[in-house]
Amino acid sequence: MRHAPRGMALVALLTLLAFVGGTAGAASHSDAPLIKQDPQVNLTDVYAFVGTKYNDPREKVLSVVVHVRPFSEPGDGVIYDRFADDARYSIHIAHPATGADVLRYDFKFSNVNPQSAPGLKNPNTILSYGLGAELGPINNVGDARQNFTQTYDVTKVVVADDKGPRGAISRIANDLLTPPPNVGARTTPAYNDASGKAVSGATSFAALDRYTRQTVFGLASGEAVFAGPREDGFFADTPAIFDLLDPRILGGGLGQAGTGVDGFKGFNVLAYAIQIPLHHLPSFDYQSPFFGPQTGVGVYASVSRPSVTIRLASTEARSEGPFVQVNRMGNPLFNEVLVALRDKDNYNRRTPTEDAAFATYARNPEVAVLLNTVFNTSFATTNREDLVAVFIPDVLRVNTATGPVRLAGQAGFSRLGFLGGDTASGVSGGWPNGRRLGDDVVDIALTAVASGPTYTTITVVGDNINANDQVYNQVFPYSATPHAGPTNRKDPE
Amino acid sequence: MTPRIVLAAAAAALLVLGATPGARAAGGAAAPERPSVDQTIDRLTGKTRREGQDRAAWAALGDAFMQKARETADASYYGRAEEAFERARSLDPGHGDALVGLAWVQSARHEFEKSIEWAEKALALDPANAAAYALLGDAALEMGDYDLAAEHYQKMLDLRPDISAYSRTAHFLFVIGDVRRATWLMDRAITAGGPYPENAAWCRAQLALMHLATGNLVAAEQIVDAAMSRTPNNYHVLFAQGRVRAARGSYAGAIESYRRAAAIAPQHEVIVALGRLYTVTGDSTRAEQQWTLVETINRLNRANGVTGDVQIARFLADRDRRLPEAVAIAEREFKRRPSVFAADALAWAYYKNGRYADARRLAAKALAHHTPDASFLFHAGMIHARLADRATAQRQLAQALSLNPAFDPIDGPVAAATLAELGARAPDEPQP
Repeated sequence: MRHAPRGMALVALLTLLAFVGGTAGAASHSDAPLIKQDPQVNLTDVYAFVGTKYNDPREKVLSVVVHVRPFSEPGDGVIYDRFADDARYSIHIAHPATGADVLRYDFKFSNVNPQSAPGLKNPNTILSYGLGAELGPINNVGDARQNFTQTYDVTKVVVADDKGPRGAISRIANDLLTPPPNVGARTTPAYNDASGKAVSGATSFAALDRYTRQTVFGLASGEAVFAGPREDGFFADTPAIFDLLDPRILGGGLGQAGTGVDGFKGFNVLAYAIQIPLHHLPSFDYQSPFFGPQTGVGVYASVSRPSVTIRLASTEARSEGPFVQVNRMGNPLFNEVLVALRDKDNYNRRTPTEDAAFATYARNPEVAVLLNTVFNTSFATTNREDLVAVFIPDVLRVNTATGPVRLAGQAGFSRLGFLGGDTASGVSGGWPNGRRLGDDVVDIALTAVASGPTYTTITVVGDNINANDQVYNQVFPYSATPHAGPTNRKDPE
Repeated sequence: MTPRIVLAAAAAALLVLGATPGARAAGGAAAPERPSVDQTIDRLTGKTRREGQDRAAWAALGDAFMQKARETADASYYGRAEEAFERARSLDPGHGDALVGLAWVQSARHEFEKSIEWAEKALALDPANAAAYALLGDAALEMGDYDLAAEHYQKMLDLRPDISAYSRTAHFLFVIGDVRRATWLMDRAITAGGPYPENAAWCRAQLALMHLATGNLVAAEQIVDAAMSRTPNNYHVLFAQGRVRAARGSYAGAIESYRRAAAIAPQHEVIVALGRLYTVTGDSTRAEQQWTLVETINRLNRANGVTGDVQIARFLADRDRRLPEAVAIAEREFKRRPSVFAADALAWAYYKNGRYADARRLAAKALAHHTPDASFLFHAGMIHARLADRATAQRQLAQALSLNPAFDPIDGPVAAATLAELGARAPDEPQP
């Protein structure tokens, strides 16, 4: 699921529909009310695409990057956002046609509030960064100046393979370091340039900042992983889409100016990410509504918590009891734009194999009804098997027979994927073939809603935001370097 | 390879963008045969010869010459149109169509101050003259006064919403960065239709270029295909076809389209586009011929009273020709008409002359309205790269490529290469 503004835009749209004689009911100010209170486990975006290994451009890998914790404030101060220590952050590899899990990677994080070493070097200060055993800028991740350092373990679960259910569990990483947040030029200088702004856009591993380089770990099992603060790579201005009718109705009050403002500009997220060698992955046949028969895998992310959460400030979370999934995400926009309010939390609890229950939301998209009402158009509102094929089951389907795909900033990349001419071997470079950082999923999704099911005429619908506020890195972990606390892009320039 | 649905899409001729099906027929090919502009000119020339006192016929003849100039890009028709409008005015000093016609001629020559004078005369006689407001809006837009342009265009729309009003407003909205409403309105303009096939063809070409400028290549292709099936010999449509083909990487096909467009009307922008493609395909002889032709066109235009200073300044800067002159021209133009296009041309001319701080100041003005033109972002990014503002340079170059990855066959790869170079060093390494 996604953050509040997109949900709020939908609410605004529903309100708007009431103005123009629609049937909108009472609307909550959250796209999934239960999760809004629990930002640390709130998934914002899942990216999955065929790339190359961080330190070997010859080896093809499946890269999966998951963003959680929307609207992390770069200048938070004191604590900064951390991964919840009582939750299980998972990346699932699934059958692209059935949605059934075949492989799962679980990331589990150390205590968010330790009182002593190794989690905390110096309990007698308010500073988590810049004053540990000694005072000064952090030169290396976990050095004497980094007071608090969160670590994590990664477990690989082979759920099933082509011979049937398995269940083999192996710990593939222990006590890996996460980098510090970008506190600012004086505390975390290696993230920033001379003006104190975060430096991003690295085109090779060697060009990444030192903290990120030091926290990308190649594992003996063949995977590579990263976890830590990143810039929020999503960009959208949903209210502008509805500007056509009357900008004043939607102007103001939404936390966005309504004139092409990236509502996610200047914010950070937390990211966990993995690169899996392609030869470690199964390959399944599936059908794409746009590109015909394909082979590849399905990808989605989830966060689970133990059924009884034991949150004691002074100890490690102890429950390893049965985990209950509290959040899930595959394709962008599905749960917040297509799924009706009454089913949003239900969706978060289910697995993709149960997604047939939600197919009606893709087949009869309410958003098309709303667009028709607002724009006086006649987009198809029923029998949208094209959208069902994209969203059900709700996993990102990644063709692993082609690639590596073009990345944002590289020649031939289009934020619109195949709609912008960015294809290889007849397959889109980006969503709905997997999803890359920089794919303009709002424009692609609304254009698809407006142009299908025949696509004989591409009707372009979208917002006025075409790029992220920060340039992405072109190497794992791909997401842009986190904004600095004192100098981030929320400030007018 | 193109996805199958898109192939199917290409086969379908009809464009329906935000409009209800069925409302389409008005602007479609099924409309009854209308006289061509040459037939109209013949008829009106005969009429004015027989009835020399018919002021309405003289003004209509002026309009027909202006239409002829649109269809051929032959600036010599402006003089003939001006003569006809003057004849009408000499018969009746308060003839509204004649006054608006004279404003139109001056606007076509980029003499916006003079255009404003004539339009205001027309409005003094008839405050409800929609065409006069259209020309006042055009002048304000060209002179970079976007608030005033909005005001004039609003009056125009309130008085008479038609293809002329919709398409002008669409162009204006695009310049100030409101892409969605711009494309929506341009589609309205096509639906509304005009007296000559050229009118809707121009709108289709503009709509295709708007989509292309924002990276919507497949949508642009569909519109170009629809336009080509209706008006296969329109140079605006051929130019748009060339741009779409170049964006697909089909340089030979694009050159063919540009050559056909140039054979009909050798416009500055098509010759420049042709020269740039000859450059990237290694045909330096033909490229050089185009650059000579660009300068010749500029001289011819001046001889016909047309000034095209922003584009020639940008051309000189792009080609590293007479760089001090490029700055002088752009400075003069920006002082007189501070539009985003003038700001961009001046920024680029400063950059080429090594005046990077001045260039940055002007680049900020060019970007102030979020005009969806990747070349503005490219120029700004290159300027910031020179000023060692790496983060800003990276962001702007990435935005240029994100907006329209195929914005230019020469500058696009430079943007990507510069981005790669800027991203090749870690922050703690010494910067070059």
